Amino acid sequence: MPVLCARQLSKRYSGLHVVHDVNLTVRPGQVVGYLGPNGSGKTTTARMLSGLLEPSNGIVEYDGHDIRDDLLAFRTRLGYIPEEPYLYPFLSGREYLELVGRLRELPESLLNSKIDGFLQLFNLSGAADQSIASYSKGMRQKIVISAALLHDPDVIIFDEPETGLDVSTTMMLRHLVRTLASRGKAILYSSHILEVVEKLCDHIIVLQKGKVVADDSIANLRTLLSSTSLEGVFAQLVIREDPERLARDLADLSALRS
Amino acid sequence: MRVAAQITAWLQLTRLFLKQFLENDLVSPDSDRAQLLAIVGAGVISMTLFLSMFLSAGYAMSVLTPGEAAVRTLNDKFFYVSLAMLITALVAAAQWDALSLDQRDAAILDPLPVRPAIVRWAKLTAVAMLGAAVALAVNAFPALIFPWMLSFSLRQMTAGDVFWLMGIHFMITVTAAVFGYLAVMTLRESLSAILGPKLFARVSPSFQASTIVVLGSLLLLLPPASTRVAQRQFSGRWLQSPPMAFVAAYEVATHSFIVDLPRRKVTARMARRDVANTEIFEGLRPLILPMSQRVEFLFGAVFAILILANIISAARAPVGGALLAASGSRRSRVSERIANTLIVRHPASRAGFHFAVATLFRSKTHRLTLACAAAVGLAMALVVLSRIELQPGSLSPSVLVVQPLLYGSLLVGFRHLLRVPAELRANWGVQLAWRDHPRAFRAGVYRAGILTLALPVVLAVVPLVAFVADTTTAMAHAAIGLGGAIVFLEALTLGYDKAPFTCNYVPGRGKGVLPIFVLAFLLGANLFARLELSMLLGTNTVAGVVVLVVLFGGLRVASIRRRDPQMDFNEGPETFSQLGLHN
Repeated sequence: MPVLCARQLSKRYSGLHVVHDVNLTVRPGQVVGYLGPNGSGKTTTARMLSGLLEPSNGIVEYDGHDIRDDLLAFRTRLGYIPEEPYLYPFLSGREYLELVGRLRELPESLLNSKIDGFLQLFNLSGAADQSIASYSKGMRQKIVISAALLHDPDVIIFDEPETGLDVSTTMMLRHLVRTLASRGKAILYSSHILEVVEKLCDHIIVLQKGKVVADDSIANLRTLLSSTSLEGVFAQLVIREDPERLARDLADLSALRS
Repeated sequence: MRVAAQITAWLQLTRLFLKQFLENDLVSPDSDRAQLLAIVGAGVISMTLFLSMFLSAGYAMSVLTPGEAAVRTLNDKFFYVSLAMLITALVAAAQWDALSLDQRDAAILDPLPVRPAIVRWAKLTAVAMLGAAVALAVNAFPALIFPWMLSFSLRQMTAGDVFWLMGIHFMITVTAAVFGYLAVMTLRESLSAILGPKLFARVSPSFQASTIVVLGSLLLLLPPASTRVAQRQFSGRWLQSPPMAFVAAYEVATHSFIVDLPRRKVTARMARRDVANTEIFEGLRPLILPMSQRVEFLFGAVFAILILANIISAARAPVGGALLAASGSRRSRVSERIANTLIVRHPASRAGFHFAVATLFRSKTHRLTLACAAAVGLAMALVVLSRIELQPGSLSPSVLVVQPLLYGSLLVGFRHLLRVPAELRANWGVQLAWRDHPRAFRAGVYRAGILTLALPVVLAVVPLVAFVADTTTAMAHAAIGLGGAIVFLEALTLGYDKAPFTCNYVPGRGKGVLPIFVLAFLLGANLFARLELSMLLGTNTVAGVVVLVVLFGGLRVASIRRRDPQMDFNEGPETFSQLGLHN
């Protein structure tokens, strides 16, 4: 049974459809990839699924109930890692995690041991007491990931989490996603890095201009579209321009001197 | 790099740095800069227009003799010179971090093929342009109005005299304004050079807040200080103050022509007043030239220190001077444990408490507002204290009112800040972690306000009361004051139903009744001081305690009976929905 389910989810801004009739389900132990080019509506969907943004139409269900019926209860079971790690710049990494943990009402001793653990595993112990203003984007992203996992959530939404992370942390993140899924967590992994999605996800949803253009397992999509890789599938579904020609034009433009 | 390219880079960077002055926590990145500039400019100009008309109105309604006018205009000259100096100094203090290149500038500009010297020159140009703009805006109207209105009461002045006085007034007050601006820059740069980037980044916020408190208090104390200048300011410590050097320069530049104007036929009484005032002025004349020469010394010293400090800072970093708050040390776990055990026990209260402490003193907007509130409180307290003689055994309501004035101003500032988000874009984290315990969260925040704002003030006043009364009375005063602060904060927050520091800022609608609130606050503080005096003297102790307990109890009951608020983190102002932007 799906633990997270979106039905006919839409979002309009001033009459413009940013997300249109999106349906998706995520089961415990499953990693669903949410793919699409820039501006296709991935982040808007992720924000609606996490309850941070109200849909114009449609509902999001958690365990068969509309999340709006008890948003607070849903959020106690949700972990959300946004693409842009906006944090309080004047707090230190440790202080931010303490704020989140206390708001989530974790016992103080458990919270402290979890914070120490996350900071150590993410190699942030040395910077734990520096203000977040001095952190790199990757360091901020690590703090956001720690904050999302502090309370052991059942549903985790990753919205392009690899942005700004170094190679070793990205690799670790992939292993983390797999491990979390193997422990029964339902994971929605939004990204435009096809290689990562191909390695991580059992099932993918491809979004183009706010609409779902594919919703199947990677293997089925490969067969259907007679392609050997996810990149080929993605190119057929989403890319309308010849990337090689576009790259050539860009290089030509860059070389223009007078 | 060609000269033309260097000039283009310098112009582009100057524009960028000018924009940075407007780009701060108080202003949304999406706001209209032209509109903001228009509002700020109109505010400054209308304020100086009103002030100069208000202060000069007396000249239009009276006839003065040259002797009287020479002495009386010293008050106005002192006021305008000090006002120009303090306002530009306050602007510089408010723009504290934008006065110098920082780590962000270094990170963005270092990789570009622009010479560091051009970046530094562009910053200097932008800073100079800001100072010049403020100096001109503050002094333009007073320079026109003051000499013009003076001519109504001093008919001997010719049109040429009036225009000459306008020119001199403008020149001297703008010079004083530039000095005020440079003085703050020098303070900041020399601190940065002495302490080094890391240590400076740590102490810079405290210095900025202290500078604003001092300058704000001086600004509020300016009107009472600008009376009887001829009798008071030409002796003692006043004689050494920078504004008096500029007042003397003013007199030197005008050759003190007012006192030398031809006498007209006046009544015998006016003639006597003229003689007496002329004598006073002539007595001051020998002091004026040596005093005016100190202007050159002051400018020379400020420039020399500023250049030296800049050379030291430039040698340390390729572009940036002070680093952003990059250093940090873990706060004391002992004090945190004590706070968690004794003050805040619920997890949401703990979150609110520690978040409030961090926000109040580390967020630029919150720190600046608190500094302004402290300046207002300090100025009021100093005005009260300047009117009484402090002696052992002279305990009076005037001594006791100092404490409620100080904590009252800070708590009013605190109440305003509850509505200002610490960083709006970061509130998604709080939204996701929120477990709907607004009361517990707010209780933690309010306790932080009492502990970090009211308690230090209450304790700071203890030595004063101990001096005029005794230690026991001072401790009792502190205890009653703490109770009063709790009651006052309870009253201030009665109508507040949002999660502090995390929701959208929605402007209040009670600005029209602000003067009534101010009056009620002053009256309340005075009544409280009188009640407290009777309690401390033992005449009304029980009644006083009962009043406080009943007030607190009533407010608590009213607060508890209020429905739990529907938390809306993204509430927009009422007019927002009319645009239909959030469908």
